[in-house]
Amino acid sequence: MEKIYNMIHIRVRSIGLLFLFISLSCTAFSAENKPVEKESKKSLASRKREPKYHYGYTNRPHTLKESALHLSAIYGISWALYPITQPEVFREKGSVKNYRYNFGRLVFDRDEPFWNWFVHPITGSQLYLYYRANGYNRVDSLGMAFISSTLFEFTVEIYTEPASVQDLYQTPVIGSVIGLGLENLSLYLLNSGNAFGRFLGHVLNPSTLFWFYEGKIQLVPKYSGKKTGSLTLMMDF
Amino acid sequence: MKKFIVTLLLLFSAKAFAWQNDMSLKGGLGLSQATIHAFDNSEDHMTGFGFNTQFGYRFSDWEINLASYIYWGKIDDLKFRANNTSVVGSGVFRHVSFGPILKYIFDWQPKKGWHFYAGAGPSWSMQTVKLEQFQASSGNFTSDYKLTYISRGGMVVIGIEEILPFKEMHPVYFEVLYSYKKSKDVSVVDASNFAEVRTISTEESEQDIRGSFIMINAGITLF
Repeated sequence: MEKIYNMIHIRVRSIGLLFLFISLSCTAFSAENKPVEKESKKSLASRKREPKYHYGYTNRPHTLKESALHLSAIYGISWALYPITQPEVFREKGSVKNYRYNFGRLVFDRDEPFWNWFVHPITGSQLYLYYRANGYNRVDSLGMAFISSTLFEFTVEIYTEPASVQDLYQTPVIGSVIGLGLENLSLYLLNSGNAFGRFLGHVLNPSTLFWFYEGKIQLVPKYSGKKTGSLTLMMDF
Repeated sequence: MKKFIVTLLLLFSAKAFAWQNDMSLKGGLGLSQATIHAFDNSEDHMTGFGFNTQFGYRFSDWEINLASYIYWGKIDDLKFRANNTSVVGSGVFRHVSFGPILKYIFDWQPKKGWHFYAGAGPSWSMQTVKLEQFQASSGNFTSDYKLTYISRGGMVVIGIEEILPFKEMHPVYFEVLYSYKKSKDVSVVDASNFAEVRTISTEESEQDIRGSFIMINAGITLF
């Protein structure tokens, strides 16, 4: 027992010495290579990673046909996703008879806060971000998310339950408030230049991963060697 | 430079010139104090906090919004009767209300750079009460049950808002809202299954349950 204790003691001491050596050598190395400089804005900026791509949003006008295509695509996806995400409810409560009965009805639902204040607003935020990724400005993205969620409430979800007042409002409106926060946070992370930031940015804002995302710009710095440089911005349409 | 001077002129011009003729989304936080007048003429008081959102269009002097106010809080000694059950208890409540609200923006500036507004509109709301401690004098009531009141009423609001030339500058607003509601129906809901709640009973509210709410809200124009 004493032998084991001594071995541990020696090992801990060795690790301590090793840590001290690494710390001192790192300090010495950085002190040797980096002259003490005032932390000016310029010096701080020079330490920032340069991302290969710049992520942002472009606002452009859309034709009626283009908007109709987007609404149709989201509508089709919602029909496909509803039975997949809620199979039990769809199987047990869904019927054509219910669809007919619920058509045009509007009620206050008594669902738990998890659904009304988390699932629906998060869905709304992703709808908002989908339209943002397709070049709609913030107000139009909210408007398009409103139309998409209203179509879902009045023509898809009524297969199992009537349209709900809370969902009609909260999905697009609170969804857009959350979407705005996610938009800003994901852009910060995506433009941070590090792999973890990019990963997290794409998780929060998955629409930035798809082909339809219009805000991805490739930055190509060029230096001719004759005191001139240029930055080429490449964007896919 | 030209834009800078124009912006300065707009900001400091004697006549208020705020952004107008555009859609907007506003959001903020708030506090609420509510009084529920129960069926036996007793009063239950609720204090809560929450958030508000407003989405609509602003003309030069008028603004029409679809608004929502959501609050959470605690309630003590609530008395209710539903589904042949009389219960007295304390617990938590959630309040959610929606409605269109028409506001008039006055030229009067109670503080320089801030204009005054007043508005009104109908309101539809739902209060959910989850009792944590209760005594059921008759009938069957369990801790998995919750109560929901669907109410109708109206709201009036007065407030002040920053005068800024562009909504992208996120004007701040402070407002006091008074809302009066009368319950339309009361339901007892079984929330034991988190995924799917079950309504045990819904009764037309003949008990004349009324509520008055005072809310103090603050927020910004998000976009």
